[in-house]
Amino acid sequence: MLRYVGRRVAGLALVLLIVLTLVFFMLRAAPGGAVDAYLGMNPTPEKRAEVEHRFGLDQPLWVQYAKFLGNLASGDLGNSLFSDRPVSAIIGERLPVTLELSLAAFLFWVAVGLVAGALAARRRDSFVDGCVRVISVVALSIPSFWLALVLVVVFGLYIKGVLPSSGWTPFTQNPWDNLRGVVLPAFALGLGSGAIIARTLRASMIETAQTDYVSFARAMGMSERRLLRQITLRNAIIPTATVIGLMLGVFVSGTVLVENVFNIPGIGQTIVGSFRQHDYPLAIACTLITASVFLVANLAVDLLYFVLNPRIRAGFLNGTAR
Amino acid sequence: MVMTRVPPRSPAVRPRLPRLSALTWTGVVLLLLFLVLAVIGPMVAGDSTVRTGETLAAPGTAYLFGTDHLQRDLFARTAEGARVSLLVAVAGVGFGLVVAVPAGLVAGYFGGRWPDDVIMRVLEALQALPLFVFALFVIGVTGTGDSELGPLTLTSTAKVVLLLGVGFIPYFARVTRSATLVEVQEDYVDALRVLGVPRWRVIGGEILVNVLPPVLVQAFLWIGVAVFAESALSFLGLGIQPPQPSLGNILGDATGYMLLGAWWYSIIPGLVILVATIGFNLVGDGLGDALDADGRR
Repeated sequence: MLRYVGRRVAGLALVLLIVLTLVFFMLRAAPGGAVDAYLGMNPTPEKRAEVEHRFGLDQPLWVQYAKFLGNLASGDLGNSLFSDRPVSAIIGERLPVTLELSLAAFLFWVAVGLVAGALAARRRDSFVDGCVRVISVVALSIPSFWLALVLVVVFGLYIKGVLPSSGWTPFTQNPWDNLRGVVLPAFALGLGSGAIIARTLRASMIETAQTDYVSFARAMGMSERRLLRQITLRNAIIPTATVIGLMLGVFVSGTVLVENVFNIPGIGQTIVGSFRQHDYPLAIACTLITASVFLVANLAVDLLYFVLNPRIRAGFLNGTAR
Repeated sequence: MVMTRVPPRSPAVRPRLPRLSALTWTGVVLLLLFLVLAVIGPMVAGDSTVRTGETLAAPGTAYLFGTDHLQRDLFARTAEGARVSLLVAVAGVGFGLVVAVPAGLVAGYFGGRWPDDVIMRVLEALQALPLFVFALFVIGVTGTGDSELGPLTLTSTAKVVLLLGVGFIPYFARVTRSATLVEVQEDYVDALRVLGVPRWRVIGGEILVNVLPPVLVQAFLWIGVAVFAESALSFLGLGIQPPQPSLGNILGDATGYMLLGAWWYSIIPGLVILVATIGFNLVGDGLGDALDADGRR
């Protein structure tokens, strides 16, 4: 188990390093780039040389690369070109917003997805099952940013004053307004993932219910309630856990879109805004933060999977699983 | 030793008209609606750049989908956008397949040996980043205009196609690999080896043909994903660039006018995306089910 974790963490570090290197060289190769964005129109050659010197761009490439990594390692992400504030301070403000939004969407939609999936599987081919199947297909096909647009139109134009349809109130300023403001974006962000959870749980519960060990337990006189709780649900939750893990990846791109529609000052809005303003230090930092959150979350899901499924655990102990 | 004819293949996976469920039929109808709009729509709607003289007119008999803030007919814009989005999605999936299928075949054929390991590690690295953030970053850095890549000039549309394709490679390659792993176990592959058929012909001929159906079903499902991804990028202003309409950038334009009461501007193109994605999902699911049933028979 420890060896597995170690290998995964090493792999994660390697992927991050590859990403960093790619980012570094892409930025150097990109036409224009940070200096042009910083200088604006028609700079004099002297001015350009001065700025290049300030950014350290006149040094050999490998020195720049080493510095870039060194700065990152010490947590210095540079200053935003646009507002001249430290990038780390900006991220410190924006990241909690995105995390709160994601967490709200995650908790709500995992709960809804699990309940809907379990209900549909228990009453297979009933009216409830039919509803869950049809609604989930539609729900997982709705583009999150379009749903967000529709919600903004409905709540901003027709049902005014019920829920805020744009902007963000920090929790410290007004907790109630903050929570009200999370409702619509979180709804739009997680709907598709909730649908996928419901579908996966339904399918794997139905599959588990047809296995021999469930028939055997039933023949042994186990009550349907206990059967569901102790056997069917427990086995069916494993594939569902994988899907719940995949949600995190969906959220990473989803927050970019939803934050832009609802005008929420999170990481997603910052990424798009900073690329528009050619504010490269900020854009890079946001991309890296997003990628790291995604990678760490993926690792956590894999480890959770490991804990949930005794068969995988046994495989690893025997060395049979790769 | 010229007898290279293959003994009758085990499960014959030939397209035949399967019995479709109600959901699949719904999908077929939705998909046809989308295809009619994307293929025939631009022909009947006329020029999508013409100014009609009416700003933000509501949908009605004169303008089926209304008009936009630049007085353009939204039906013509949406139809043209649907065509562009569909072409970009199909091209992206196609590009992904062209790279992923050979990679998956090789990895599967050499399952567990070094070519497999190398290919799988590269795919894992690709998959480690969320596709959307990756695309966002590349386009953000290289700009939304044309980019030079050696002798090639990539337009923003070409960049979207390539990025979508690259993002899909790991998924397609995995499906190809796992299908190949199963196929390599079949007796006919051993038989061909014994007969001395060159390895590349076994892989590129016999195995490829048998592996393709599940891969194509996956690819079909991913066209829906590609339509969504393209529209999301264009919505943020990082995909297809105006004046070329796409379903995403029409929605992006619409955000400035939705609170002025122009609901049709954002609702209708979004519904078109929805029809397309539901259609591809349902038909893809149906095809997958039909294939499963075929395999079991």
